[in-house]
Amino acid sequence: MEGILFWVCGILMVFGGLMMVVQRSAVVSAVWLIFAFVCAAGIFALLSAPFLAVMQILVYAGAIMVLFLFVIMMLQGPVLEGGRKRLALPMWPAVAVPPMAIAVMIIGYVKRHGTTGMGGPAPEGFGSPEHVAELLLGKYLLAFELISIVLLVAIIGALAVGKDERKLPWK
Amino acid sequence: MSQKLVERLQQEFSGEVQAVSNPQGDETIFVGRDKLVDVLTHLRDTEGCEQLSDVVGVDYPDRDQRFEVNYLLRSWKNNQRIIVKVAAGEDEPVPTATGVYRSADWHEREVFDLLGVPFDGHPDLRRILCHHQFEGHALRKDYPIEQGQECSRPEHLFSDQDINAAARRATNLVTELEGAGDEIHPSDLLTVNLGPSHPAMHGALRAEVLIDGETIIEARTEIGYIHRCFEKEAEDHTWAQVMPYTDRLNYCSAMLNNSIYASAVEKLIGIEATPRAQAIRVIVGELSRIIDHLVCVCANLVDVGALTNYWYLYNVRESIYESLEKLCGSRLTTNYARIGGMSHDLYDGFETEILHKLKEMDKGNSDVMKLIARNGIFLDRTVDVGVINQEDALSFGYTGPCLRATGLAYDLRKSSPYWGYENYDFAIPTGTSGDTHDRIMVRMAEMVQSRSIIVQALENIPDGPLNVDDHSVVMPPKEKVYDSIEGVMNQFKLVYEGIQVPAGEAYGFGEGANGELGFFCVSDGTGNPYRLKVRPPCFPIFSSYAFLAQGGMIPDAIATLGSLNIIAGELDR
Amino acid sequence: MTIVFDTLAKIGFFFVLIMGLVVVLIWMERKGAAFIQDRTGPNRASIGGVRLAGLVHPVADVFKLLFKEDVAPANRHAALYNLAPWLVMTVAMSTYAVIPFGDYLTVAGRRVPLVAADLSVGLLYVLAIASLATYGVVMAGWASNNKFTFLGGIRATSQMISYEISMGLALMGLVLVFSSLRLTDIVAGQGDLIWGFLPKWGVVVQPLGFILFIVAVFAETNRNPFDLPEGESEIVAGFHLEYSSMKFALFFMAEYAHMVIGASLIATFYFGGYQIPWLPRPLIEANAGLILTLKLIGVALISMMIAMLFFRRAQKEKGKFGDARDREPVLGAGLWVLVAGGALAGLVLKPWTIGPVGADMVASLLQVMAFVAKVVFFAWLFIWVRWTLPRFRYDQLMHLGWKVWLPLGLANLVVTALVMAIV
Repeated sequence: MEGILFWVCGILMVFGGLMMVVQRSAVVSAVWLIFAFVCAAGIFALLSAPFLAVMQILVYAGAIMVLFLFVIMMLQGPVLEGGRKRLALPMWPAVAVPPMAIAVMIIGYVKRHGTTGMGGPAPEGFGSPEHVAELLLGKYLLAFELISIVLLVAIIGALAVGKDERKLPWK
Repeated sequence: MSQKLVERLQQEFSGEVQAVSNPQGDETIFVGRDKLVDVLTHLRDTEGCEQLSDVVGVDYPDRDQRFEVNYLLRSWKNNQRIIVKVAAGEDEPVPTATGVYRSADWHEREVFDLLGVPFDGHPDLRRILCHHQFEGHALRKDYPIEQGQECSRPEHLFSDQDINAAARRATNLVTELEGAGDEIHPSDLLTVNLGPSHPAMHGALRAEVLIDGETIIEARTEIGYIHRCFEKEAEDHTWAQVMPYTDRLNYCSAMLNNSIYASAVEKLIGIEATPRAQAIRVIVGELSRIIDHLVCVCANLVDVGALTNYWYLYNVRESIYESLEKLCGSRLTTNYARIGGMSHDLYDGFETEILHKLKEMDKGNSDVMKLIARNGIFLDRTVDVGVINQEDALSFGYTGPCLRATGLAYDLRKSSPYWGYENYDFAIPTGTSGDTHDRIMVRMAEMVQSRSIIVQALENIPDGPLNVDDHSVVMPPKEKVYDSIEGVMNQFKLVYEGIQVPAGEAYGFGEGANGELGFFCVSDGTGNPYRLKVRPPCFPIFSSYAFLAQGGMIPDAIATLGSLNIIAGELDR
Repeated sequence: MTIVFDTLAKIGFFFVLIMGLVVVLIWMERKGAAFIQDRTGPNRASIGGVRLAGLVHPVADVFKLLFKEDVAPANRHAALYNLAPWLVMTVAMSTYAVIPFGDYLTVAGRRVPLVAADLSVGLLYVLAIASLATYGVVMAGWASNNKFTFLGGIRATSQMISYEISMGLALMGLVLVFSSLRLTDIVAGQGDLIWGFLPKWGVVVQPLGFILFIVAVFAETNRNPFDLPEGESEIVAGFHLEYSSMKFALFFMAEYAHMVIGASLIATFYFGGYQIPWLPRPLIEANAGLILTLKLIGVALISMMIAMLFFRRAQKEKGKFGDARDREPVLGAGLWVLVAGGALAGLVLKPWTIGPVGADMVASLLQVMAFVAKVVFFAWLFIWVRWTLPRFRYDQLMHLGWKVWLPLGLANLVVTALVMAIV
């Protein structure tokens, strides 16, 4: 049962990713990307990580992509293009590179660990909110906090770059 | 006082200004075209004429200079009026007054549209009431009225150059406000058509707006969707036959249109309605004013999303309409007033019925006030939205509640009383900031005043004849028609030839529900009007709509429009 | 296999509940609006002359919408245009998976929890699904290729992003209090009493959180005063302007389904879900016989009273219309007499001697009824507010969401955390 679901989610996700790349309309691309995210969430759920699965939807599909769509729509406006536009770059590298990268990663993993290292049942409580919380706020506390500082710096940086200099409060 | 005004003008502009005698008492002067702007500027700056009420063009094909353009000026401060006439031949441009009065913009466009008088220096001299493909000028006496024209192409109000210019202006504005801001590209702007068929456009109005986000960068308005050239129709009917057409001008307060039109023609004839007719005109007029305000306020509240209030006010309106229907047989198209009186008297029990309905009105108004008076969302949506200051309001030709919302207690019922308004005790509610909230609240307060006027009028309604005792104006009673030769003759003359209004011109006006409603009547002594020009209160008000909408957001524009109470029937005529 | 069967049964229950409530809510909205606005409301549609106080109208609507021509704009983006209404409806329905509508029910010796999927991250699931609800609206707005629908889509996006945050923050306070993300835990925790008399409902322990949450839920359902994406007087009908026929019906039903979700969430998080205050489950089971008996008697009495009212109306209005409508009060009286009769007939079965299996069923039934009653009440709240308040303007909405609600939500979270740390 889980095996079937895994393959369904996996294939749909790859398909969604491909469709995202080949679309001409940015809005439709974004919709395919959301589809791929939802499939990824399904795979997380199958990997006994419900917290990650829900977070995948909440953060990526629900928040980030909504903002993306918002920005794309704001830039593009409501009127659909009548004529078909040619993309500036040839399509095939975008289609071909990701599968090749994935293949390289799988081959590298198999070479190092053999095929037996994959799979295996997850321990009790794995992937639950408590488990994730313990890791994030215990073992990886420093990294977690550092990332938040990096993000804060990034936000301030974005503001500083995006806004006019004279308007910054410290000048 | 007013006699002196003409004399003062003659002294100031020695020889350039000629007094024109007018037996009806409208102060009139005639000036040369080249002196027009000087005289208007002088009148505005030193004589206190803040407002250009209307511009009326009249066509006299037999004269050397066939067009006569009348500028109707009003000083609220000094309570005086003056009419300035200029003459122009075909293809002789009249200098524009847009630099002096902002309301001149649309009034002059209308004269250009309907009579073909060009205005020199006008910034935007396009057709206004007729379609842009229309050919010819309908109000010229030689216009073939049987000729049909097919106009099909819609007009784009914004060209690409306009959009580029608007983007540049917006960028400059942002730079001015915020130091260096983002540049606004023409492609950032979206043109959206609000109307002519849009749920919040009261009647067929069209505003095309350029928006950045939801902020309106620039707005342009187009009117004339239900233009039917009432004024040309009137020239083809007798004076009395025009009466039903006036119902269709402002269909929310048809009674006021009827009565004010009747008064205007009475002024030209030189008679005055009987005291009883005047009191009835006051009563039905104030009822109409209440209905008009109810409709305006309830629709405006729907525009800001408060749906329930609609019913509290609309139910009252329906209830008052029932009484009016009983009175004259029809709800909207009343056709109740007659030149020289009214078509018939009040019915028995009218008084108690109306008093009862006024109580219903109090209930509805207090319910609505409970819902909106201290509602934070309502206040956020209306306070400081669609603000116009006093100076602009006067210059744009605002009258009525919209002008009073800016804080000026100007009301024709007080400043030049008619129908015995001087005998009634009532106050003029005013606002402070001229925003949407004040306009709504002024209307709410005026309903209370109208209520008190109606109560006083019902108490003191004089007995006596309803119609003037002059059967060259008013139809004789049927007994006289059957029993006497004079009666038959009177009936015959009135039906076949119409009322023989003496040649001359007069401007009759009154306080309509939404401001000064005026009829400029020109008679050549035949039974038909030679020229009948309506001064609808919402025409100059709507000319400022683009100005009010710019800089706000779409919801603001909608709320503002609702509070201006634009009635397409009288706007487009 | 039993688990699959149980789950299907629970999904079925929710499907019936939502669809039933949608019909009832449409009726409630119309009649409620009419009541608030001093008018009669729908009273024309009838089956054989019987109008059921307007309840026939939703049925007529369904048939009208089913058979209407589906008019679609020529330059739409067909795929997204068709997808959008289904997405809206699907998302609306999927939230129910984690909402517990009762404690448990013993079926053939098995304790079946009355929740379709008892996720350990149920609360986050609710937020995740709520965040997906935006897409249907945005897609509809964009794919219709109309400026007004586009503006509606833009408004919907920004509104939903803004209020999801304060919604999440409000709920985090609740999570701290009940220390679980599992909805069943949260509801079970609300069965306790504080100081022995006050139910430990979410609204009692998190009053500010409740206000934040209820406003955010109103914003998420796109109903007045937050109906900007539709904004009828401003952007005509907003995102669903170009939809007709059954596609429009899906949007229409989704709005009510969202109301039901919103009401369910308010009830679950802040009003004890299925919990009946001062009446915990063991107490109900111990006194099941007595409660059932009292309930049957109560139902019988109230039905009789209603039947009497109908009967009096039937006498008073005899032959008033001269057509099938005259039968209405008679039928109404008959219906309520039947209900009363049923309740009285139940008494014959000696409900006070009910056994433990029966007691369990009574307890579950009472809890489900409590839950549904709370949902209906909060759904009425939605209707009530809609017909009372005006609509916000876009920038005012943003101001409220970001500058008022967000700091308040943060403050609520911090204060709750401090209190929890001290106590």
